[in-house]
Amino acid sequence: MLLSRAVRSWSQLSLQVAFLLLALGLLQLVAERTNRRFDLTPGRGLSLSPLTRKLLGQVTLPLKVTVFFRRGTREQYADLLARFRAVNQRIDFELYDLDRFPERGRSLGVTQYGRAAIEYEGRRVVVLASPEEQLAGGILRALRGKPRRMVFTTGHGERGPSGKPESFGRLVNALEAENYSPEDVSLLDGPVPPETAIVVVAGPKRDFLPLELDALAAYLKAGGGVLLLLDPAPLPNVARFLGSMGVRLGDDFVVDRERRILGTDGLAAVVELFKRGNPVSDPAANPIESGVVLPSARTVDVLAQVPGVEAESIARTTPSAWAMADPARARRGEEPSQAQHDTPGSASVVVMAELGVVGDGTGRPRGRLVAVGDADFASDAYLDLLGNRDLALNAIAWVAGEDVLTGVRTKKVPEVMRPLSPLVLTERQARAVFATSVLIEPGLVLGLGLVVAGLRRYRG
Amino acid sequence: MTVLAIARKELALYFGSFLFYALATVFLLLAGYFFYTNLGFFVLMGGMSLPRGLWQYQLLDVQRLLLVLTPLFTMRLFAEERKLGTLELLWTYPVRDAEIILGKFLACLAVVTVMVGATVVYPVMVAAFYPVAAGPLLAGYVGLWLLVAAFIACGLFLSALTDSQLVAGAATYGLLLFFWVITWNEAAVNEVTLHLLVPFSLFDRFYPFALGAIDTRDVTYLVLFTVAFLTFTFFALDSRRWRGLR
Repeated sequence: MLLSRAVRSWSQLSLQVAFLLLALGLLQLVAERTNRRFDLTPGRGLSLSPLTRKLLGQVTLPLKVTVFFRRGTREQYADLLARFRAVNQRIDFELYDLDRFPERGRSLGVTQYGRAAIEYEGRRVVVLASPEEQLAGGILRALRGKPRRMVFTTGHGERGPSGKPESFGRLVNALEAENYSPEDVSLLDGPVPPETAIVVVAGPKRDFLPLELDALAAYLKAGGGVLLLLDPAPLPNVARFLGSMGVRLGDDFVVDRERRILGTDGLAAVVELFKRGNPVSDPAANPIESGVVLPSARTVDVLAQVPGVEAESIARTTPSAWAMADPARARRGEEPSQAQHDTPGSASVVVMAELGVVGDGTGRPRGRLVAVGDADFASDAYLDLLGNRDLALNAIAWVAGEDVLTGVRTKKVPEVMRPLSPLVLTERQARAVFATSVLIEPGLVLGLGLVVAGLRRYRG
Repeated sequence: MTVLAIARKELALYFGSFLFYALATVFLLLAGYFFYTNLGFFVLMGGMSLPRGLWQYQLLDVQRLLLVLTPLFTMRLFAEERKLGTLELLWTYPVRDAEIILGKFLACLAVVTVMVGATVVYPVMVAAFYPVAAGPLLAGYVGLWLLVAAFIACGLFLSALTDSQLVAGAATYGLLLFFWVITWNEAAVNEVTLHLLVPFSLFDRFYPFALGAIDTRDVTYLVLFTVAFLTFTFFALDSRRWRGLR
């Protein structure tokens, strides 16, 4: 009788525990399926960028990501991949310790730690498995197939990916992650190479020859895309080329003394006025929320409408800016003045244009052109300042006809290990921190404890 | 109200004994030392991001300290009372088991919260030299608090199973350690097993909090973990009745 009662009680307890675990398990399952992340870091560094989300929305068939990690680093990749999968359930992933599964790695073309093999529709791409933009770039490559050719013109003192602050190394890296294959081309050698998605003219110091501009015009007429990044410098032929499309390239220097940005020389123009609803400065889904800083800008504006060209100014400086007629005076740091023919007020600095007529019967796409009156903003030194990166990459995406890529990218908070952090403590401050955290605070608690113990003993 | 009365009694016991101050001193001494060294690391080579370069390491260090110290707070909750015979006395009052459990749980949670709350002085000090974003810290402390609640619930349950404080403390260490290292040895288990184990790791659940994000699934897991062990404690106390052990 006693035994049966004990058996009944134990059975009842087992059932209760089982039901409890089942109920809690189901609740957790629901929580896993409906997870929502509240990213409290500045710049939302732990969330996927809107651009990556948009890109993942393009994955319509099963896509598999296999990451090979070094032991102890699994979690950093698992977290990122889980975020990708949360956006699109067609993305499946597996993680392998490369030391334990070297053969599997080799079979997928991976022989190094931290690489991801992305498989989609029979294509396979191997890329770095983190950070986010590298993996997203890999997925883009897998979606598209072969990379798109991107031509940087040479021969006029243009900037390249040299690693110096004024170079375009970071921009080129970002473009490679977005499946572009950059190459240098001199237009003196012939026309723009076939299958070129975009031609970038990055800060020429010397003017182009008419022959080279003819090549550019022919390329544009054939439906190509050109991005002109033009620092203040005498470029009469380029100005004439733009003039033929109704675009005026000012031979001036835009400064904004009132909106001086910390870390710049006071000659920078701040761009906060963007034309609404256009795909470069104000993509419908993800408008650029911060302004753009053009460290050494010239004006670019629409002068007149030319038949067959639809041009519009899409970004202007703040009203406190001046367009100084003599760039040399601006560089010397002289104050702008109307007496010196300088023009006060908001100035147009970015123009976009489409060439050709829709439905002209040729079946060619329209040529696209964006002219920015500055090249510095996209250089390594300024690319990650405010909205500069988004403006540069959006312009390239639109010009190249990649409308899916226009939008806000991840905020590039530098995460590399640097010799010094921005927090500097003097020896005295460090001693104060040590004393407060290691001696004073624990000492106070210990003292309080001794008082309490003493009181108890005193009271018996 | 009975829950609050029991919690008040427990709080008086904690704050009236030297043990709490001794443990809090050890905790703050070690947490302070970790903070100083983590800050030194950040100044020298921590990069640009405070959440990733400093708070992450500090919160993970505090989490390890809590793993060591929390069982010392929980081991006495039932085991000591039973050994001294005061639990039987408590049961003679018109209070329910659930109220006793909740009262003790809340008191212990309040005590450890006060102790962890004292570490807020570190970001305040950093804020004197450098702008500190509150968001990542808020996420980190919410995570720590939920983790502490889970630790305490686990310790409470094991304390209810035995008369020996030592056994209760050691068992709590063992169980919490298990939930820590469950995903450590990636080489010992295959990928499928690891995939199944990861959701149960308390510390993997805490990691996003330490980085400055709050995932609702992690909050749910830590809350359900706490609820599960509090319910187990209730079952353990209840079973003693029909087992004739009271």
